[in-house]
Amino acid sequence: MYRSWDSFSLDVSLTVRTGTMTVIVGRSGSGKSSVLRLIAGLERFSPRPDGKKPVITLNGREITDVPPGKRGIGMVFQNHSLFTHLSVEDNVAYGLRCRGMSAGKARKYATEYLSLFGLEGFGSRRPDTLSGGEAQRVSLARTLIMKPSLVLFDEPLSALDAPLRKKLSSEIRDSQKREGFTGIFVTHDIAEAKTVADRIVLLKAGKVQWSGSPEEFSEDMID
Amino acid sequence: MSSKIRAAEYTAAVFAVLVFLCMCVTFLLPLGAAAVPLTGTGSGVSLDYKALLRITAYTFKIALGSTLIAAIVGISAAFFTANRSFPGRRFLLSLSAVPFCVPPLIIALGFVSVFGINGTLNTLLMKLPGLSGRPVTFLYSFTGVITAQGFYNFPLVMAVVSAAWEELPTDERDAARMLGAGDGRIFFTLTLRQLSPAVAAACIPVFLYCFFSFMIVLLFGTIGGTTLEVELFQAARTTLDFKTASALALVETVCAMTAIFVYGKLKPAYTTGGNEAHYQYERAKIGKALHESKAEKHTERIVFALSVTAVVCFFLLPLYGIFAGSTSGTDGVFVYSNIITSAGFGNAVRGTLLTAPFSAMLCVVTAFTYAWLLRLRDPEGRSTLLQTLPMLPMAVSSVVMGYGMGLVFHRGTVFLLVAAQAALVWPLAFRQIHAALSAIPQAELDSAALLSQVPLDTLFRVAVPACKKSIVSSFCFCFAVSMGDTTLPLVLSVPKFDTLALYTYRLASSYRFAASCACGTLLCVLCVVLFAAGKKNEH
Repeated sequence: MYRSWDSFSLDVSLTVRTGTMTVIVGRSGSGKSSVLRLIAGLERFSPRPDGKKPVITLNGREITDVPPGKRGIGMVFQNHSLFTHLSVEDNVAYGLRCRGMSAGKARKYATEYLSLFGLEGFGSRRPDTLSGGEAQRVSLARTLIMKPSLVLFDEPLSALDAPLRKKLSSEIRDSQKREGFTGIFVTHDIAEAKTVADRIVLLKAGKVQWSGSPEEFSEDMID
Repeated sequence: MSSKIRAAEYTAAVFAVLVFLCMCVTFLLPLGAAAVPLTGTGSGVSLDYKALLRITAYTFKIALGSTLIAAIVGISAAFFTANRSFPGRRFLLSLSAVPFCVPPLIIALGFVSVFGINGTLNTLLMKLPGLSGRPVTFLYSFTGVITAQGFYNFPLVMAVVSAAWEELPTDERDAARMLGAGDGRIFFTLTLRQLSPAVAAACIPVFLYCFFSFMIVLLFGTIGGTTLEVELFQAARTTLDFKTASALALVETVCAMTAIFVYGKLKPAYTTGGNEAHYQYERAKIGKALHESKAEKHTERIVFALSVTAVVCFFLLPLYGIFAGSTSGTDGVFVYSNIITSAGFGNAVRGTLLTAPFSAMLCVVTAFTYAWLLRLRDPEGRSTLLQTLPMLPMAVSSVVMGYGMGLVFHRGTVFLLVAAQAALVWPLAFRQIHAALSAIPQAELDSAALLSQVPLDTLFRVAVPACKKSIVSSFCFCFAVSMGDTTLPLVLSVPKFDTLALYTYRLASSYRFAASCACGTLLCVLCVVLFAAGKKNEH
């Protein structure tokens, strides 16, 4: 994929194995989040200098020009991005409603699904009454209920304190194993990366600098 | 510190407090006086209950209709200015200055010039074969009033909503998009809900301006189609039926106070919003947005074309019509030299210079005093009462103020005119000065207080320099508003006294249309220059 700004160009070729979690690490401004947004379809590719068209494929299907909502991709955002005027239940049911499911059925399914994330009884609450950890769990439930083929995590835990980050990164890893989705996780926290990852990719100034297993990765590589 | 400077500072502080107290009295005294005739003996209110209800309903109808037009055009325009890039985007945004710096009388003249019975449009259409009468007659009707008022005020809605739209967190929209929501669903389930405080915060002042609209209704209103403001003017100035005037003033003020209360409740909801998104999406060109379907792109182009056409026809053409109208008479462009050299114009300029700068000065002093007290007493804006008080003058119309002044003092004077204008206009200065004072970090004020034994040092050496630009900017702004005010000079009717705005009105009502447009153009240019000077200084 290719994206050009005034300051630098992002030029990345990335293959992710089905059912695994790939973690992208790198300094601020290295292009980590932009990679996710390009995969999600939330940003436009720039024309490559060599004229080649960037391509994204998911499970063998080219999705480069497919609208974001039809790619089969879910995304968990940094600030959880819950819809503050909707209840927790309606937040989780939102995607199902977009697919045409009736309101009653979608709510019922959402309530059941929330319990998988330890959020029983939270359905009628408003997002602004939740703690940071609870809000991020709701955000994860809202994404995973859609059964996406690929889940993108854009620094989902960066706004939380260290103990909670550790707890939630383990929970994300558990849900990934339980649900079997493929994930790309962006973070600048090395401990978090090692907890979650099957594979780590180091991005520097828009280029893949290193790629390997969590065991092989060391913090010095970032500098 | 020189003792002379210290003495000057104390004098200035005492003067400011006195001015503020005088402004409170100037505001409250006429209001109280306006209610007195209701308690007296003598003949009753000549309007029966049904007539009062009919006039109130018509006033609401006019205000709601105008606000609806302003909202529809303003929100459509805001969508494009906030989310799309197109030639003229900045120009469109800059139009938000027009309702502040172009007086309603001038806009009314512009509409007459283009859409009037003898206006440009009718003159052009009459050249077509087969037309016996003037085809465009909508101006002197309910439609004409709400069209003129709606389009005159749409830039206010556009500016507020556009700024709020740009500030909306993009992450929520992205999240909805990733969950499969299309643009329509995103707009109706998220964006509209998120924008609603901004829409309300923009529409309520527009509603109030239209509710109090006097000049446009006076010029375009039909027989039987009168508003509270016009009826009050007639009762107070023509039929001298003070009981009826007071009843009308009471109904009008209570309605406006209710709107102000709602506005006060909604405003914090709007102002506390902020962009938490870390990605500032790029503005796409019209019909070229990344996620839009073909049908959506097509619709967007049509809405854009319709919006541009409406703004050109009902906003830009009337503005141009003022200038065009000035040269439509037998004198051609010489109308300007004729008017400038006339005795009436000189008198009007003198009158304007006698009132507008002093009124602006009083506004700034009052606004600064209250803003400073608010900064000290309620720095976090928790007291709804203290925060809402400066909005109260918005609930009182110029006619009510002038009527009350007339009851107290019996005869209008220049001094009363200045005081009355300042008592109504100072909230406009307050908004700017309060924003600047609120931006001073508390630590800065605390340090200043610790470093000096005299509390006035914090005021004169930290607060005043920090909001120097806002003070100058709000002075220019109030100067322009006061200069363009036709209603108060008309209601107070100071003997042998004219202002530029009043002189323009007198020319228009004596059917000297070209001269009136010429005077209006000059007034408009002066207001725009002052407003632009204030804005430039602000930046």
